[in-house]
Amino acid sequence: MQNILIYGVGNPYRCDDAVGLRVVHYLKDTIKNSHITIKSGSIDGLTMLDEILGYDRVIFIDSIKTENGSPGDIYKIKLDPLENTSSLSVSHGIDFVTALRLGKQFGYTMPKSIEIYAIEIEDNTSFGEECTEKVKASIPEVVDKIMEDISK
Amino acid sequence: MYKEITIDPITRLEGHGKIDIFLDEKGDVAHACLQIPELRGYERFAVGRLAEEMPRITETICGVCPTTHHTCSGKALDDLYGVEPPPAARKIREFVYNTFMFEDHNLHFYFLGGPDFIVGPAAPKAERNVLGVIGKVGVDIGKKVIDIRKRARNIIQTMGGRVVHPVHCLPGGVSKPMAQENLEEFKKTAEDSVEFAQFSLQAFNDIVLKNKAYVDLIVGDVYKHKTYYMGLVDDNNKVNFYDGWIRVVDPEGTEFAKFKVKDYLDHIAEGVESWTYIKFPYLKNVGWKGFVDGKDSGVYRVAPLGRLNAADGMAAPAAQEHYEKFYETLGGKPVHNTLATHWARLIEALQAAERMVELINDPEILDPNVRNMDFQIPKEGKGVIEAPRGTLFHHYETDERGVLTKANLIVATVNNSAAINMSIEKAAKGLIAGGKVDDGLLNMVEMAFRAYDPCFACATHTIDGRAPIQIDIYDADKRVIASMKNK
Repeated sequence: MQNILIYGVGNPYRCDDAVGLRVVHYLKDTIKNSHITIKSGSIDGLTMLDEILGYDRVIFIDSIKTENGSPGDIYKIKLDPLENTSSLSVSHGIDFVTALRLGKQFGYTMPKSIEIYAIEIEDNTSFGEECTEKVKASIPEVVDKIMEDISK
Repeated sequence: MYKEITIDPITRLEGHGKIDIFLDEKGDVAHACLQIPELRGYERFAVGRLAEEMPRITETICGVCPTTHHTCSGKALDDLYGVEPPPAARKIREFVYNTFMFEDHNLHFYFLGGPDFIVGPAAPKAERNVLGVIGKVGVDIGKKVIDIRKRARNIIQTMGGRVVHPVHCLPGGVSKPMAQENLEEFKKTAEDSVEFAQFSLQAFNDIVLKNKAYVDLIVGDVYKHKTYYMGLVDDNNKVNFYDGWIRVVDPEGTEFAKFKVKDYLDHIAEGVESWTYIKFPYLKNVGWKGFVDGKDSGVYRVAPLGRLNAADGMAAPAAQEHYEKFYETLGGKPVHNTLATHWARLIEALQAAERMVELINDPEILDPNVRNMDFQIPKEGKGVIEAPRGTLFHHYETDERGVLTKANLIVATVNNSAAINMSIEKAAKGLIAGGKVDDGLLNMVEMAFRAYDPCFACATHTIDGRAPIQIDIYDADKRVIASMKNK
């Protein structure tokens, strides 16, 4: 049985930014399996690298804003970044893709599969502990997709 | 809608450090302005909540320095409830905090500021990132950085309960005492941290100080500003990250003010400019004269360079040796060259590591008495701490039940905002003339940014964790004539 990490990312006080945390909240009540670890938080790429080592499969749940998306849209992003190059200059914080490439460069045993469920959000600048309606409405579907995924 | 995609790089629109550059009628630079994120939202959000929740709420302001907000908030609560933490609690807080400073400063040198100096300011953009740094220093050194960081973070995790958003600071102390069983491991981590900090300073010496072009860049005029400097010092005027006096020196290095946090509003005010909603903190007793250098301008700077300039020395012996070399090499105190901040940061990392050793070897740190619950009726509490990127203030007012009626936060980046604008403006003036924008502008602005290590990814996060920059240039009629991004 493979070891799976499910990780919800977000800030609990910035409305839709917390959608990953809300999804994980439901999953924690539903999943009782010693091979599946469920965590949440708001972390940078390097910390993420610390978190994922030792797992065979990792599923992140995060918020996203794209140019043409509608709030509540769900994207399943399969990360296959290790062969690509991109120039990344940051003021602080290492982005996740760079952290993964770093892990590979250091020879760490990386998870075989990393997926991100990203939910298109509307508002991550207002303060509040509730997601907006369309985002909130998408949460059960994300939960179902993940349950379906991990049963495979 | 549901769809499966594979994308690289992942893009997201939030989290830009937005810079507006305003030109005059001749097409030359009139003003430059960095849009600092609004903290007022957090301050309003805090009102009506219990003060005791603040260490856990305010630490979510930033994904980069939550330990700083958490600890500063805990200190403000000590003041609010009129309780002094027992000695062991203070030592545990200081131990955790110095561990965080050490870890964060190292991260900056190797992974964030490193691209500018280790890889080189003139290196191709594609190489000026952390992978380029590893390529230059070698995989083994890279692994060493990761390893010491992990062990430092294990201390924060163990004592703070959580590594990213710790929960140990409570009004009047900490949530748990130091366990004997952790002592040996923590001592080893502390000792190895000192060795690592020394190694980093040696690397800086070999890679940067032995390279004339780099030294010329540091001591050059590009980011030089003769400002006031602010930082926390102990009773002997030595650098302290956790507590002490807030000391301010003038552009000649002479003490201008020294005060406790309770009096901060007597010394700091916020300036307003007609062309932006952003306010700029300045020294009240000098006055706001706009974005100008000099003794008559109330602009002050914080962060590692500010702290070293504001102090008379370091509070640990090995760091003190490097402090002396720093000023000998750069022509005496104060040093006004912004890029020297990278060196100052490493000297501070060494002090933090030396302090870790001192604290973990202090038998009193094992005392199980870590909470003073002799609470007074709350009214007002103020806390100050040195974030890796500069002085941070938390100020709360409550009713008699401890429910917040007002909150005021001044974060490090806001303290530095006037100076950051000045650096951007200086770079922009050299690269924009008659409405024509030189391609090197973005690079020059990024260099200034990384030295200040500003925190404009506050409060929300991006899926890729990056803090990209967008520059918009406006003509005299406030129309955008050019726009550039680093992604």
